[in-house]
Amino acid sequence: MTRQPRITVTPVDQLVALARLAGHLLNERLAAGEGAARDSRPSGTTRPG
Amino acid sequence: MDTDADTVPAYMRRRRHQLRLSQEKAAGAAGISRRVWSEIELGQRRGSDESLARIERALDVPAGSLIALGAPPPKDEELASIRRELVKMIRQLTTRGELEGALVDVSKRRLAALQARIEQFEDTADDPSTEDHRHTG
Repeated sequence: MTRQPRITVTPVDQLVALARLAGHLLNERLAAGEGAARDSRPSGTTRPG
Repeated sequence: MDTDADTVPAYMRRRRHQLRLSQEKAAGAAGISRRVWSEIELGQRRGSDESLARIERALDVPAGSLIALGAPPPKDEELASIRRELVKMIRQLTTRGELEGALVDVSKRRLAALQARIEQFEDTADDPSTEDHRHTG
């Protein structure tokens, strides 16, 4: 069986991956907040602006 | 106290709780045994890159991010400081109730500032005149 060569990842690549994770989690939190705000609005009302 | 050594186990636990998954279900979604999941989550073993990639998919996070979380901090102090800020932000974002209202805007600005600093480093790395100064490994 041949071993898969390990992928060399630079420190900057690692930071990009972490930033991507932070962005992903932040978007999730924002979407959850928007969902909660939408659910709490009385029916028939619209968001101003 | 969170240290770099327990970042991956602590993150796995917080994220699994955030998604309201049992270890059994999370391991099943990842296609690994519950025992392996448990050992990695308890910090009793360091998962292989393949296991971590499977866990990333089960926890619905970007590819490579969990592997990056478990990698040693960069030697360059500037890069290491950016990493510390990103890890702190990730910890906040997976802690229930940590971010509310205006704090979300603060996090968006912090993330944008960190991304700009990372891009500066990428631009430097792409410049052939700086090739001799790049770190390897």
